[in-house]
Amino acid sequence: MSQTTSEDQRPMLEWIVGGIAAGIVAVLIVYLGYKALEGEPSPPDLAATVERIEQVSGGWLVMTTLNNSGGETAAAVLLKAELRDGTEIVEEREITFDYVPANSARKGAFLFSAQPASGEAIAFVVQGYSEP
Amino acid sequence: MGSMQRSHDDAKPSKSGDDASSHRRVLKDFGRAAGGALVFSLPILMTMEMWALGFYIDRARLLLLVVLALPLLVILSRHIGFEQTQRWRDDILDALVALGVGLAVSTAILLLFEVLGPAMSLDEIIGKIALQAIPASIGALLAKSQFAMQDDDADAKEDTYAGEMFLMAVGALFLGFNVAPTEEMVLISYQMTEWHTLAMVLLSLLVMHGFVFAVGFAGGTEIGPDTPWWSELLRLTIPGYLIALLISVYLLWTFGRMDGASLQQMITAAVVLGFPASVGAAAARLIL
Repeated sequence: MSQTTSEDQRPMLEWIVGGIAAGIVAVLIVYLGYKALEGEPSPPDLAATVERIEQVSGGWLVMTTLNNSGGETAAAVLLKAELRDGTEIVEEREITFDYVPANSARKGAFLFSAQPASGEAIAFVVQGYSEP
Repeated sequence: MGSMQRSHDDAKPSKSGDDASSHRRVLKDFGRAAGGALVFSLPILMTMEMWALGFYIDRARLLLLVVLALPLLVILSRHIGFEQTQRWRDDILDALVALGVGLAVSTAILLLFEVLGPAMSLDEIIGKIALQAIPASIGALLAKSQFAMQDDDADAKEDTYAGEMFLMAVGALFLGFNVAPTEEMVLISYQMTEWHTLAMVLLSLLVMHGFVFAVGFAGGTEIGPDTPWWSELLRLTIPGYLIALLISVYLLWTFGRMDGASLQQMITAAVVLGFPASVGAAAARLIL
């Protein structure tokens, strides 16, 4: 049970698998190193858009996507949506996103009782966020 | 008692004795499997995110997970099944028993926690049970081998390269599954900078290689004095780490943690989950 296999007796397959795996892990390390050297990531940059509007039994559901194009993750993002008729604010709703990761998007929905005329009738205000 | 029985009716004793002992053995097997399912899956049965995932996990992904679990259990039974099974039929039976025990244990515990209730839809109930049954059934199968090692130690199965990779995958899946559904996985990845991520990759590799080294010495066959250090690193540690990473990606995707995330976020989350997964992978070679 204690014989040792000399290096050239090992099946070629093991070296091929090892080589491929090493290549992929090396790419991962180089990528992370490159990103690390790139410097300070930019702060969260949040913008909300209306995906679509649907009628439900409680009123009008405004499906919303909150996109973070910054380089850092925002936590506890408080997003306010105002339903406007001209310049007048008809209704206001708020939702909180637990996390909006860097360069990622999260979805949510606002529930209004009045029908929004169009996507443009809704104005979004990102109130703020905390660091995760 | 035995002698009394023999004197009373001579024709039957051997048969009824066999029946009794085989019944006891079956009961003991089920007990072991249920115990294993409990030991291995209680942490995850008591994880809130798993209950929620039961209803919001993508059904196609849940189906894929369940479909993949069956061949995994069969191959696992082949590799570590305590019965030294010779035939695939036995392995398939073992896998089905493990799955059944996993389902029963998950259902019982979830009912006990009142995670399952009458007001829930069938879809939600099935989702919750199916999700929990997978780690539980792996636990059931692992326990059968772990608790019945005594007679098995002498003839250690010869490990093929593919077998080693499979065991590492099971170890990674096992430890990974226990933490992957938690919110902490992504939360940790949000907190870490690229430097932290890089350090975690290197630490994972170091820890894995430590285990590989330890197993080499324990078995006495793998690492000889003339084996250069990079041989094991290249053949076992690095492929093992890649397996841990791939399993992490699969689990995170299954639990919807990759949805809407950037490439950078996906990689960081995979590296974070890859840490426990790689420890599980490396430890599996030592334990199983």
